[in-house]
Amino acid sequence: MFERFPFGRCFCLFCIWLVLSPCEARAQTKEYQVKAAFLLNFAQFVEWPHAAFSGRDVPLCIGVLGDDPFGPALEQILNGESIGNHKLTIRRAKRIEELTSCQIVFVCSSEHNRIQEILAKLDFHPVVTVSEVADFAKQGGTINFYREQNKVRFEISTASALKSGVKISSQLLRLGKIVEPSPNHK
Amino acid sequence: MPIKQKMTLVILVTCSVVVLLACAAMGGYQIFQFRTRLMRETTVLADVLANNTQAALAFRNENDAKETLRALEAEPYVNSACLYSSDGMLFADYSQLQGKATFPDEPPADGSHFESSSMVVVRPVMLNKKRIGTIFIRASLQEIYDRVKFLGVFTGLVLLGCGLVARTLAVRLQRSISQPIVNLTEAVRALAERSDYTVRLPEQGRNETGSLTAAFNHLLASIGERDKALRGANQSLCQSEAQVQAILENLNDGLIISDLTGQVTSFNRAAMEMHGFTCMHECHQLSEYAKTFELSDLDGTLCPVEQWPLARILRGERLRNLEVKIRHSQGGWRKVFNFGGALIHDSNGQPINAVLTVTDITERHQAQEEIHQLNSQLEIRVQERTRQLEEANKELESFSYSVSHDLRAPLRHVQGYVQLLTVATNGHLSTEAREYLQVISDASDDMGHLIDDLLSFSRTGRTELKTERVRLDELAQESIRVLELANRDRNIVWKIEALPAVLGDRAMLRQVFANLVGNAVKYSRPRDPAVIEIGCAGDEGGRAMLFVRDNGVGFNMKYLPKLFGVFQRLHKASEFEGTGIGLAIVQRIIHRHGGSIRAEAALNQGATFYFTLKLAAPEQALTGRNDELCLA
Repeated sequence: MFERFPFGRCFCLFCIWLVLSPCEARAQTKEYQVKAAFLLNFAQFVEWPHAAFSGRDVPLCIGVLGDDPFGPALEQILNGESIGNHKLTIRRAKRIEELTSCQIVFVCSSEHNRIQEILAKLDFHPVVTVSEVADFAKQGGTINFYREQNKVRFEISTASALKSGVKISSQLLRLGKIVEPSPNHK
Repeated sequence: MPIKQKMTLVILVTCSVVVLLACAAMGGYQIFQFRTRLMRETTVLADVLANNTQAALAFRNENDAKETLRALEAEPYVNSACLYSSDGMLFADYSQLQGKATFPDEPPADGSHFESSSMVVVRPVMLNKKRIGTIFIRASLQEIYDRVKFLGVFTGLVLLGCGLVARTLAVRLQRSISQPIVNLTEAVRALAERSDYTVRLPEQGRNETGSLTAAFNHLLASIGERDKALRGANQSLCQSEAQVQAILENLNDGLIISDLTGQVTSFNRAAMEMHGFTCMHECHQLSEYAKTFELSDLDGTLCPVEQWPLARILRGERLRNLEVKIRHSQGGWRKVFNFGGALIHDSNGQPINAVLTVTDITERHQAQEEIHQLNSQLEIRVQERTRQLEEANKELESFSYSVSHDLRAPLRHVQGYVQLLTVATNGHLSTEAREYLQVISDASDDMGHLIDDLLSFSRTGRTELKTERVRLDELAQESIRVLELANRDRNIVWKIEALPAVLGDRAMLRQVFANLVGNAVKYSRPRDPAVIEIGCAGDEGGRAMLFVRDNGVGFNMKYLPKLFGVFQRLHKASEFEGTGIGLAIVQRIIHRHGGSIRAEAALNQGATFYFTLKLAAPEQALTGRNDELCLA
């Protein structure tokens, strides 16, 4: 088998190398690569209302708010991808106002003090908000990453999804940890 | 194997094969259908699972994937299943038997295939038109095997049942076909044992067996006829064989039959006796005879074995009256056999054997040799006698000539002195004495004639012939002239035809004519007129046939043998004078000329004398020849 697919073999070795790499920077890069892939997957398992797109072939925009931690990973993974007819585009901004037309907004850790403010700006917009800030979903965001046993996991707030008018696939829901917005954050 | 069993077997085998084929076809179809369905169902299952594991694969959530695969517990036929991620790594697995399943290290190609005891379905897991992984399901084929087993048992049972039914039916049904054949066979066997061709088989209906029986009956009838004819022929053959054997055994001639190699197959009794055999086994191969017998031809030249009669026949020769001397080497006897024989051919012309006939001609041969010897002795004796006779004859002739000649001298004395006495006693003698003298004179004249004739006869036998051309016309005229003078007082009518010229001694031929015409004149004396013919009655073989005929007293033909004898007379001397030598002289002369003479006559009806003489060539041609004769 290996002989027949030398490429696959190399790829496996590469993955193993990536996982076992002792280098912190490498681990960092790996983590963001995974998160970038997760972002793509979210786009695939979320259904936006028609109003979210101004046209049929309008690109699906992923906004990155704040200091971008992905490095080149985001472009590497998302470039050339599309969901249905919608081509994926990336938009980086410092201000949330510039990203209200995006379908997914990644709130970077740099913005962890302005969460409520940001969410308020996106209220009733069909936007899936994703962050790596702890308890982001409980604070009113849609999805937030967390680490468990050295693996990237995510929490989903169905309530905020419902509020923003997007439908999240049951498969996605089954994989994520469902959280309720905690009232103390309000 | 008897036909009953054979037919039952045929039916059984046919039924079994048909049932077996039907069951196999049914089972095969079922199994095929089952497999197709299994594959379809498994494929559907795989597709459903692929759909349900999209997210798990996308988010690399192995637990979730395992959880999803565990739903396969509801399908007992699924042995095991697994998910491969898009990079080909084993992602999650499921096994009915805990942890015992093995999976390929890399996902196989999409589709489905059968392994030794299971079916494998491999389907892609797609997300957003992209392949994110592969699902692999291994389904057990145990159910198919169970089904095959069941079908096997089922087929066996059906076969058994069908076999039983078929056997029962076959045993009953084959009777209608086999029974007539069995009956026929038994009848034929019984018939063959008894050799009774008059028996007929019972009719069997209008099917093939029936026509077989009818044909057989017909065959029997013709065989019976032939058998009868054969017996008859055989009997007559035996009879004729016995007859031939009896003939062979009682034949005086020997008969030997041999085959084409020279091996003798039959010797009849005569042949065995001739060869000195006492029993048949003494007669061996041709080459064996060479040790026992010695054959040679009549000159005494020894025959080699390959020239022996049987060997020559075997080479294809046909022998007839081959006379051979045979000698027995040990027994020492010698015989002369007459061999004959040939090859015997059959109707196609091919030789089958050789037959040799033997006749013992030893006695005949001896007799012939004796006769031969006697003959040669006789010839010598005859020659000797002839010589003796010729000598005696010569002596006799010279004696008679000398006697006749010596008799003439005293007779002349007697005549002379009688004349002297008559002259001397002229008129003195008494008439009585003159008569006595006349008697003496007449008697001595007669004696003189007799002596003349005897001398003439003797001369004709001794004198050399002076052959020349003689014109018979002249001779005839001469003899007539002499006789006319002597018989002037008689009335004689002469009929003289033209006569040819012949070769002969003139003096002797003159005597022939003188004697014959003289006789004619003499014996026609009582006739008035006497008719005398001289002529030629044609010619035969270069000789003229001449005749002298008269109308005189003739003679009885029974005295013909005496006619030409010396001193033989058919009439008394008182009637017609003569010495009885004339015709003897004529015959001798004609014989000396190489001709023949004969007479035809009847009493008182005249006589005809025919004689032949050699014709002379025409005058011119003869001149040269005359010179030759003169020279000779």
